[in-house]
Amino acid sequence: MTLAVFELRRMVRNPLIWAAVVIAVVVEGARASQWWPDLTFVTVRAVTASTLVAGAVLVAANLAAGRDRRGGLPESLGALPSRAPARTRAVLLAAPLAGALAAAAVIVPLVGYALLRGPVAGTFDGWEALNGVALAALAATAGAALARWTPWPFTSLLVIFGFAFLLVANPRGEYGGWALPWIATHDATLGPRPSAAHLLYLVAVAVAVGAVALLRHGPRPVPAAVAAVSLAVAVPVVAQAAHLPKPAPVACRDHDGLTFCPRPGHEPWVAGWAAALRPITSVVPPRALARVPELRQELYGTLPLVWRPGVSETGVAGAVAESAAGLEPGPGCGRARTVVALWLTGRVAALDHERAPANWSWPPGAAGPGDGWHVYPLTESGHTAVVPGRLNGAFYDDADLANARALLRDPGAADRVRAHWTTLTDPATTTVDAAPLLGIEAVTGRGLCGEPR
Amino acid sequence: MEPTLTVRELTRRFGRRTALDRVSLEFGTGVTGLLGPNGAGKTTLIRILATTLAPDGGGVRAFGLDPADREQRRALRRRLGYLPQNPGVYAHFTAFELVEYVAILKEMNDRRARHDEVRRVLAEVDLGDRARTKVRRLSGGMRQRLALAQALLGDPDLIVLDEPTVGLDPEQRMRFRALLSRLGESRTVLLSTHQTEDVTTLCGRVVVLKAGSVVFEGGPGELAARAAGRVWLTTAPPAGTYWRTPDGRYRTLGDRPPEAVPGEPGVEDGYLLLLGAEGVPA
Ligand SMILES: Nc1ncnc2c1ncn2[C@@H]1O[C@H](COP(=O)(O)OP(=O)(O)OP(=O)(O)O)[C@@H](O)[C@H]1O
Ligand SMILES: [Mg+2]
Repeated sequence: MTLAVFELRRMVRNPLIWAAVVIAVVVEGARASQWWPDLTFVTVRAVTASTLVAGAVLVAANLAAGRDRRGGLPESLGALPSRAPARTRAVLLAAPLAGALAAAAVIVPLVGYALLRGPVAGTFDGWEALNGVALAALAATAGAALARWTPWPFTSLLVIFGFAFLLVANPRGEYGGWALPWIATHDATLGPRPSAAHLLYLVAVAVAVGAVALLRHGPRPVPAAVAAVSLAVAVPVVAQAAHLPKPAPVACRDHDGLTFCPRPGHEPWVAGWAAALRPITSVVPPRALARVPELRQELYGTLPLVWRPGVSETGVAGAVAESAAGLEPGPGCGRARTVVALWLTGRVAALDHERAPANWSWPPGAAGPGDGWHVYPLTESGHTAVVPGRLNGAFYDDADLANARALLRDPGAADRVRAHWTTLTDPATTTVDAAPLLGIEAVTGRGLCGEPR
Repeated sequence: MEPTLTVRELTRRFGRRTALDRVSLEFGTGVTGLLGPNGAGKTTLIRILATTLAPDGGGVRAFGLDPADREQRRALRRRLGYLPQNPGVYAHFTAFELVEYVAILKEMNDRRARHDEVRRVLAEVDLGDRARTKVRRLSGGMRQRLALAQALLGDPDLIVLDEPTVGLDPEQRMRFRALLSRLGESRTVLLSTHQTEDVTTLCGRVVVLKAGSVVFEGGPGELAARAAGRVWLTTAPPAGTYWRTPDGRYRTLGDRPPEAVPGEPGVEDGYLLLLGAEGVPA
């Protein structure tokens, strides 16, 4: 016990662990600050960030447990009454505790930061947060076990690289699933995560690994039994966790003439979404707004799962403007309603975001793009490009953009669009026809409004 | 002398090399010096006494405890202080932490008493003001003293030191001798050394090992006396091995060279003659 306290004091002062804590908090905090706080996500991300601490703890525990075989000290220590199993036990007590503290030092500030920022959506899952704490504890026992079973400290680095690769190359956990010690990317449409079960799994594995570390000192019945029992707990738990519960039903609500369908727990964001879309809803007549389909928050839905101010508006505004103006996917060049839709979008988000980078050419012979992407002929080069959803699938060219920009510069445009809404959104009305109503000098296109491949 | 430590027929082989060959010795309270050329088996003997090496044959009994038995070995370790020939250190520990770590492994569980004891042994080796210094910032001699400090923890009854004076400056060497002679009043102290001066000034008893066997056992005076009548001083360089003394004469060992006058025999002379060192007739 005395030795465990000594090891704990050293661990708590370990600069490697503290550096990991600071880096995890700063990097993840900076990243999170770009998004609206979603506690469900924030917790998952904070736990993922704490894997950095788990790595540091693994190294620190490995060095501490292997210390009695380094530095020429084995000879001195061999003449002391305390034996090696006692040293292993001390590290197995101290390192998981220090790891848990360090992980908590990452997770608590990140969750607190989210709470401070508001508007907070999602739900805080305490079990989820404890997963990060348990992962650090597991890493600590793993470090100790590695020190006892392998003679080289760098095996701990190999293990860390292995897991880091698994984390980075397999972010959605396709390989390993719930058996992975973390759940990196949270797919909200899957519904509540089996975080309590996963916590039990991590704890059971940590205990098993600790027992394995002790078994290095000889086949003793107690650690052998503990290892067997914890594995007997861990395996069925993780198998059970694979059967996910159904997500809670989505409740839709109306706001400013639009219907928003947030995911459960994301109701606090509706007001924010409505505020972001107000430059559109304040111009479009109610009957046109009624044409806009429900705005559903889901994976590949109109409303994204996470919201990044300054970026996420573009897609939603484009979708709302396109539906309100009656645009359909396909060529829309030279039509007045295309200009109106672009103008509406531009009132929410800079139209520049819609320009396709010239170097995004789609490789010849490649398969077509997936959801939310389409092929667009590049004005400058004649090459086709793959660009993210532009007005949700309606095409336009530089002339339409130029007309919309001219309209954006005109402070009286809103009143005129409101007054002539029916004519302007008639599919037969061309931009040239509408120019007097819009009060702009219409620029005409060069026929580059291509068909998707 | 009531023996506190007895060694019977101790044998240890490393592969085909016999490092210790049926060594039998008795040690009592006081300081015993262990001399012998490189590879003589000093460290092997010391490691067996420090319970870090098991003998192939024979046995040890210290304070009635038999280190071959697991529990008795543990009991012996509680009463043992050991300085290995190459004491390791953890460079990233402070001096205090390193000694405290050993103190904890020596089962000193009371925090207060342990800290007092760590401070005491650091002061004994004159490192009291370096307690908070990282070991990597200590000089070589300071590290040697730090290693010595951990051997003194808990005021052990049996102290075995393998070349403890290596790297110490003259002042620290003197300090060390004062410390050991004080300990030798009530403890059993065994130290190996290549410094015959350590033996002369410190040890009540000398054991000389050669190729795994005891070739001398007795007081330092007896060892020096072996050279009586075999130390010579000449004015012209004699045959064989000799060295110049500060007064310009030549000192040599063995048979009398022409026109030589007898010199004062020392422990080193006795030792060299005993071993039949190169150029020195046995
Ligand atoms: N671990 C070992 N493995 C193999 N041989 C060893 C080992 N330890 C000692 N020996 C051999 O045993 C013999 C005695 O070695 P020992 O270390 O006891 O000598 P020593 O008297 O302490 O020498 P020195 O004055 O150089 O320290 C030597 O021949 C040495 O090579
Ligand atoms: Mg030696």
